[in-house]
Amino acid sequence: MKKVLIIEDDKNISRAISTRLMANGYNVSLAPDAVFAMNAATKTVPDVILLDINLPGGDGFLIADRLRNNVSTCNVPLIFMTASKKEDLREQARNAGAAAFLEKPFSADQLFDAISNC
Amino acid sequence: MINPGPLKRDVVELIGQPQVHRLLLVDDDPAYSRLCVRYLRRVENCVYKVSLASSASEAIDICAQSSFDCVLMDYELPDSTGTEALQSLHDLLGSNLPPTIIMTAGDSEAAAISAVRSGAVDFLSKRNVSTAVLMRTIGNAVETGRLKRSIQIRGQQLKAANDELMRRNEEIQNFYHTVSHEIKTPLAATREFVAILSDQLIGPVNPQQQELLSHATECCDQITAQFNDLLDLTRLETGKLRLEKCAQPLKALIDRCVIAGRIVADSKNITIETSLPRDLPEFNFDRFRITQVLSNLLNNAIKFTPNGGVVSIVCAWNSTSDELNIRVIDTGCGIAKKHIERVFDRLYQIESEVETEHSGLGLGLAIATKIVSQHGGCLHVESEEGNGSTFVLSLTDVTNFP
Repeated sequence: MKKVLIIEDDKNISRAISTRLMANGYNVSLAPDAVFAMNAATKTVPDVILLDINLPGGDGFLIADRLRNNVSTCNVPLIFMTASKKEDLREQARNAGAAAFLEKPFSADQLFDAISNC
Repeated sequence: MINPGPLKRDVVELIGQPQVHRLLLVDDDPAYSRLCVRYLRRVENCVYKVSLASSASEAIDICAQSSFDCVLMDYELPDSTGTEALQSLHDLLGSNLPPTIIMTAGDSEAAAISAVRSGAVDFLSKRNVSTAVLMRTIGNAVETGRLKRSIQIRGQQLKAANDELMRRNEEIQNFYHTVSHEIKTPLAATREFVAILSDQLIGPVNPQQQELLSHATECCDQITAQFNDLLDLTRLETGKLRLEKCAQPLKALIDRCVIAGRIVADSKNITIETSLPRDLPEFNFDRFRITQVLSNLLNNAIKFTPNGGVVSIVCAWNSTSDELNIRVIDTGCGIAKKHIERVFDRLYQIESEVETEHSGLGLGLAIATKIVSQHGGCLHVESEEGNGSTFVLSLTDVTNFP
């Protein structure tokens, strides 16, 4: 069973995505900020991480950086989520090591495509 | 009898205050300095307050404590050359250095050039000194000083204004970034909640419930589309939208637009016809954005054409002028003259006779116009009330691949 860690501060997005994933047999953990995220990711290493770029305080890329530099999480594929259409965001995400990029609102199909391609 | 004695001075005072120039005269020959001061006393409409220094170091000390409108400095001072002294004054005062005139013993060109190169605004030959020469040279120097100072101040004001503009621009960018996130996030969540219910992940859903859920999803999509339009228009207006131009086959783009358009066209029994010349080369433009423009024109044409009508897309490329024209022609009600000029304004919508389910924000044509302008092209409309409309998209330099 695939383990997914969702790093997202908006409770509704977390609820929506985790309901969808759990109904499809995934094991889901949720982390609303950087501190919880690192704890969760290192304690039980997930198979894939969904990360909201727009975490308050600009933490999104910071967390991505920490995950890549941590020996237990550096190989876990990162899927970045964003609501922004800022064009340089995609490039920044790629440079930060994103395995995939999802623009909100995204459909369930897009989500599963991204996960299965990791 | 009235004594006319002191009349002159009184008249001068009545007409206006005399100008006052504060001078620093740096010369180690006291006789020459006294001569200059005498000459200056003869100037009628100007009062010179003269301070004297006989060496570079004395001049520097005085300048450190008082300000002057002008400095006259001998080129050959006992403790340094005029050039070196000037450099020291510049080091001390920076941009507050008063305009300086170098006084040279000879009147050779070499001395003059050297004086100006060292930062002096002018030079004068001691041999030619007179009231007129002093007055003119000092007058010009003071004026130059004033101009330089006002340019400096203007420059500082411009920089401050520019910094403020850049700061506000960044504020605006951040604002839209935040608004985008704050609106799209709950929208994404809502859409997904509806999808989860509709997919029966939390229990069965009957057909009536499914229908409502389907409408709810449509609403979410409408909000997304309108919001994206608003963001696009804002970015176009603030010049923040980047075009990605590359070689595109036109037919493929038109075909895609037509396929998308057929969804509504078929429901109104409207025929979409296309006409393209054969063997067109690939053209240089932003595929996503030009598709956005054509889709908008096509959707409008379909919206305003009655059931059973025809919408045509006609393309023509002039290889000599490298101009591409795409005409979207409808057989609808046409546009009245009074509306034609405003049709491309943002938020200006014409009420159609046919009630459409949703008319949106009406930004489509405003966005289309801006995208086309950014490509260096032009979008205009030919129309007559009752006689349909033709929207013409013209792009130039389309086969110019830098």
